[in-house]
Amino acid sequence: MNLVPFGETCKLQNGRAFKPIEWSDFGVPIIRIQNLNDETKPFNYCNFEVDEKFHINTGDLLFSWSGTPGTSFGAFFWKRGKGFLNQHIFRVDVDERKVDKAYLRYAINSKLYMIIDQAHGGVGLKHITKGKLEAVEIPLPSLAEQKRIAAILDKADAIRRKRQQAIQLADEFLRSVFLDMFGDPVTNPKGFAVGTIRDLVDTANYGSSSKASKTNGEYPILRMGNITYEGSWDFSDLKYIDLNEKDKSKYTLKKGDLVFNRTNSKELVGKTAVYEENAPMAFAGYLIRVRPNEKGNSYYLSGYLNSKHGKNTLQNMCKSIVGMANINAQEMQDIRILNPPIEMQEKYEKVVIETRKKLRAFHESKVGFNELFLSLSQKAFAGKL
Amino acid sequence: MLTGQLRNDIDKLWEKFWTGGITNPLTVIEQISYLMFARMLDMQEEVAERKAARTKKPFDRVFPDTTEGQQLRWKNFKNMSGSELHGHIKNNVFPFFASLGHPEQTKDVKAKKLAKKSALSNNQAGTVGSALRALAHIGEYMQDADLAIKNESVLVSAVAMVDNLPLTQSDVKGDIYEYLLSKLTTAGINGQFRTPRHIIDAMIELIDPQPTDVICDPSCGTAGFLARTMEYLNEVYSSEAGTFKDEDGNLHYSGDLLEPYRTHINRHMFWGFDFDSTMLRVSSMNMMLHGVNGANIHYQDSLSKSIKEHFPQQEENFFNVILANPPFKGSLDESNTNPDVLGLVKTKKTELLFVAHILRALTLGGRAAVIVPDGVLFGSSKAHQQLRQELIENNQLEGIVSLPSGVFKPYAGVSTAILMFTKGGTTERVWFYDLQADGYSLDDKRTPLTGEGSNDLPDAIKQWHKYCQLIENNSRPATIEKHFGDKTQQAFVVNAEDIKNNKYDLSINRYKEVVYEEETYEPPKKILKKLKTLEMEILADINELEEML
Repeated sequence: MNLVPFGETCKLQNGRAFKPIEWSDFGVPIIRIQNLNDETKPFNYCNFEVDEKFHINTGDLLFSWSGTPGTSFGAFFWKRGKGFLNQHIFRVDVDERKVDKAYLRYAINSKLYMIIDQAHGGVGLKHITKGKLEAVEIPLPSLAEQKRIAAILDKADAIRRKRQQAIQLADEFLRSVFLDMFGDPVTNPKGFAVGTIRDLVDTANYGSSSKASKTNGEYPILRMGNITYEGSWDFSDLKYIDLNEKDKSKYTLKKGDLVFNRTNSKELVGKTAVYEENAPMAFAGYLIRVRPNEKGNSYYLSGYLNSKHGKNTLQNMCKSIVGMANINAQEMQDIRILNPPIEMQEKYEKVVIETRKKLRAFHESKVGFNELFLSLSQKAFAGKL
Repeated sequence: MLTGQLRNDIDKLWEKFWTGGITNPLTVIEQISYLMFARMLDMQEEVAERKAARTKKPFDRVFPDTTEGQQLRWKNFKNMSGSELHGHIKNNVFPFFASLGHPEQTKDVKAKKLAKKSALSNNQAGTVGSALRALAHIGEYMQDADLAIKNESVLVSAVAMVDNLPLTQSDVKGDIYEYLLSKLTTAGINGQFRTPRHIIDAMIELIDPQPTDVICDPSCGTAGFLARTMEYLNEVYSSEAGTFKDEDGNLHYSGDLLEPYRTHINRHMFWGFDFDSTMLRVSSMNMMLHGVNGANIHYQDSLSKSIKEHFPQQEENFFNVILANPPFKGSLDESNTNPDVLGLVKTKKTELLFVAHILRALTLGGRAAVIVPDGVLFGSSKAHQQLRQELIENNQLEGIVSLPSGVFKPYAGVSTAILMFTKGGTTERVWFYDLQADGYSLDDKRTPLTGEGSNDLPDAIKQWHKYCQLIENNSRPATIEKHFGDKTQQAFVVNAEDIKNNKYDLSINRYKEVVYEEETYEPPKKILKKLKTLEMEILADINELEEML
């Protein structure tokens, strides 16, 4: 296949070095690296005219040549209208009679690992020089072939993005189900009895404060980092401990236990998840193991504590000492909550379990679709597609 | 605030010290203080001299009327050359300071006190000026004065700079010193750090001290609370004629309406205690530069039992107003702690002991505003609960301003609150204020912020005075409830009964109510439909892709 240096396929125009004093609250948005891959990031604006070579518009191909590897390097399409280009970003101008921009984007991004390898700079922040970037060789087939490859990769990319959307929707679905079944906790439209978490709890115990080891021990021990903010589990970093006969029942979790994080930063305190594994694991002292009584259900409690209202309540009740916020077992049980009939709570549990099953399948297929894209991309640029 | 040229000059001098190898800000301030002291002593002598020449009466000289004695005067040595100046200041001038406070050269405490008393009676007889007495008072802390400036050129510039300072303008010299103190950006050991000035000012405004009060800071540090109280009084007690604008547009308050209270202010109003002698030096100088010539700044650990021996009167039922930011984590020698304070709360925690000490030191009806770490408000130990019960049952705990946790950054990230209480009586209800912003970013940089919602302090002060007005007018509980009953607002009241029922828990989160937005999601069926569509699209996409290959 015909390999050409990237520099021969396009002309690179670097952005303008805007000084902080030139920033304004109105005018034309200044496009910075953070605005490329995250639409929620705010713009700085510029309220005077700059040289035309720094103008950007929808459809322009941009390449960010500085930043932290893995997050900000790479080529992006700009889709949000007129803007001025900030430094550390190239606008990639091509002769569209010879080069297809969409193709070029996939082609250069497939070489990113190599580009980042050649980048220089200190810890975290790295730069690639214009010369080195221009020297990177990419395959350049005929325009028609470029368009064909770009269309295939577009399709594969769309599939993996839709999968991600589906994952987000499934999460929203659970919240929606909770609200639909139990109503807004503030207005309590369904008129459930109002009580506290204590009404639904049988026991609430603190975990083991013994020192855990990275390698040795019979039981994996869950620590606060193992609960995610959204209320599920992350077992990627586990430690282990041994438990004697007496402590086994005291410090281990069984399927269906609710686990509550009692100390963390103000934003994270009160993370809650339901333990769903069959094999027992131990839990550490900053966690509280909650076992509901016959009137309560772990999934219902977890659903509430992970809802927006629940998170708000937690953040407003915690007491903080030097950066750490605290909610002890008693305070946690003092939280006001609706006490719907147990049958409804159990129905909610079933929906959660079903949806989670689906979610796991989604996650697996997301991994699959990602591999598909990478494999297609590799084949395409090896001339084998 | 200090602006313009003066500020630049001080910055330059500061830099000079740095390049001259003196990098500890406290040392720099100490050294500049010594030089200021030397100059002011000379200025004082000159005034006395002129007066004596006019009245043809003899006067008590500070500087002996000998060639050597006169050489110790600022005007006579300030123009010496570098090497000469250095030796002179080190070997003659500073040792002379040290001798000033204690002509009798004795270490005996009682004798010292006697000497001070006689100085006081002399003063009242009019033989020595009160300012001179104040200088001699500072002399007490100049005992170990030592010239730390090794570099001669730094010394020469320092002397020249101090010579240029407008120390004759009474309201500017206080600002100069405060500007110097603002450069104290390192935290000391035992949890000492300078309380931010805007917090001090807010507390003073909350308490609103009067010129007849007797005011104390039991852990005074650089005397920020006392010096700022003086500024506050000057501002409140200035007639229109006594207020003027300088060329930079800054307002200056002469405090002319304070004249009837001047003797009280100078001699009896201000009391500061600390057990760091460098701080005492700085405090005394700070007060003197704020125009208070006889502030009672003393070496004393307020929690130590030695206070009963050294300040038996001041230890109990003495002050009308106490303003303090006591150390939170100071180490404590329990066996040396004042047993009467331990009788109120048995603990080793300095923040609890200080509140107990303050309760004791206030007169009945005396008021205090104290910064405490949040732990004091909700700590569950016996001592914590005991202290809170004492505040509520046997005193009037009036207000709590909950501060955001970044207020003391970069020194400490601890969250704190301002407690306001009056000694005696019982608490009916407590006023709370949820302060979210103090006008500065709450990170380590603490950059000033402007714009809406960036500073709640003025509103807190306004609401507090509104509440005080209601109380003063003996408003009915229903009226108070009408104005401050809504617990979703930043300012609200909680009945003491509720607090009792919550084990005297005073954390604001326990009582404040949060307004929640109603949650809205699309109905589950609609989301399911979307999911279905997505799944079908994915399937269709996969088929298309297959065809493309």
